[in-house]
Amino acid sequence: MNFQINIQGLSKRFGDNVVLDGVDLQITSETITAVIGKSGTGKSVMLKLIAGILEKNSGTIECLKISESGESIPISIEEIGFSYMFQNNALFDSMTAFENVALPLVEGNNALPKLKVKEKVDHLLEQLDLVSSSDRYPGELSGGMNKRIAFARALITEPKVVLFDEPTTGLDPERKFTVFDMIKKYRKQFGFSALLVSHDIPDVYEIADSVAWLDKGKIQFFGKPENIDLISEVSIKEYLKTGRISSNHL
Amino acid sequence: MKSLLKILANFVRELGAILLFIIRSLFAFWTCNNRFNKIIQSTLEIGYRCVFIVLIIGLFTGMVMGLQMYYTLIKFGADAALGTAVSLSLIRELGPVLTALMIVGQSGSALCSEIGIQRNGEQVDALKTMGIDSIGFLAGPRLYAGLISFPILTAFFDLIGLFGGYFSGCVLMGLDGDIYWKKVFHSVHFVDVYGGFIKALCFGIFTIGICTYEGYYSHLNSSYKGIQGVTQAATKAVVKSSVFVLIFDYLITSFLL
Repeated sequence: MNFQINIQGLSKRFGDNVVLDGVDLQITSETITAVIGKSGTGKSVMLKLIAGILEKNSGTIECLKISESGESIPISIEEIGFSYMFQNNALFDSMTAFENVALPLVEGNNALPKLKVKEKVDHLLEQLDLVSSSDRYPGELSGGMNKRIAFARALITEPKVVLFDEPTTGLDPERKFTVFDMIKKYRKQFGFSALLVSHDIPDVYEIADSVAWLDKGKIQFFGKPENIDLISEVSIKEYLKTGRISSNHL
Repeated sequence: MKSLLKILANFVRELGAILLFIIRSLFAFWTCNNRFNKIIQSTLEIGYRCVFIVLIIGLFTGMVMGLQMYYTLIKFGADAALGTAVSLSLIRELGPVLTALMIVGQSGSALCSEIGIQRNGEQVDALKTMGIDSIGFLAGPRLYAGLISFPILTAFFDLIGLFGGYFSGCVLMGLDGDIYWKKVFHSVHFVDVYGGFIKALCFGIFTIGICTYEGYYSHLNSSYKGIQGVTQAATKAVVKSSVFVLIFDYLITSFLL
């Protein structure tokens, strides 16, 4: 299914604190968009607004299904099929890895019969090399393993859009690249679009088709990673290329 | 005067919010899957956790009642009425109230903290993204479990309390055991048991409702965030539930009498 998510003029404030002030962004089928920016610029808030966890103050999030004839039909993000991978994994401590991954299939809107759930979950755990951990609780597993379980839970419903909120936070460089490789590999396999909030500049560019730089409540740059070189402002270019802030402009 | 009105308005608003939360939870639960398993699990969580403490408190409450009543009644030469006094006090009043207070202290605070921690850890948000009604999933089964476990634990409390009264009044103080049990069976009527169970049901739904509500909305506490917010929520849940039990005990009693 081809689709498009058009975000226009998205704004969010908490009391007097304006976090997002007119964000415009477009997400299309089977693309990975990396959202980068300094801490506290509202990257996670934007993801939560798209997922419907938070209520926006103004702006629109329009989801369109593109038919084969090129016709755009408005649908909801739930109809497209989305999942969310939280920064701290948000796994249930009282459930085993298997139960955590199976949760959307057991309790969600499209619950499946028990045998089918087991078959699907076992298959995915095998693909993600998690079979040996399936009966263990998140508290008994390493940070990297928990990330993979959260990743498996996000993929189990075969979503068309996956929202990743800093999926590599707290991981060592080796594991960080493992997570990026997983996203890249499974994007190909499952054909999902990803909106990925990350601080890992420039590593994230290896898997991103496009980069959105969020600053001062707005998307300041949107384009392909290779187009960063075309930016004339040196300090901004340096930040986007290295992730280091070297100027008062930022 | 103004601040008093403000407190009153806040109280009414919060009571309304809790009531709406309870109604929503009870209905939303029916959108969840595996409902029977969830209710059984929550009943065990709330009920089983409290059986021992309810039995201990029930036994000793009955024993204290037996002693105190014996010393009071013997002054009037009415020690034979000990069975009546102990049974009616326990079944109509002390059983449902003390059981509710025990469950709130033991299970209510725990489930409030559990939901609060899940709120902090974004598990509640995760449920939403999975298309699961978080209120129905987290609060619903616990409310139904409260409706089941409160009356059962109240019955345990009443029964063991009667034995406690027998032990202190008859075994220790020497009152005739036959008279004690005769008086118990003659003086307790269906309406007394029924009244006690009505109280247990009300306490069950409202105290568990308050505890789940406080846990679910622990993140909205403007003064305390994170784990401090959760501990504050648990404290508030226990205090509010206990106050609720005592106020509504009076109200229900005045309706039933």
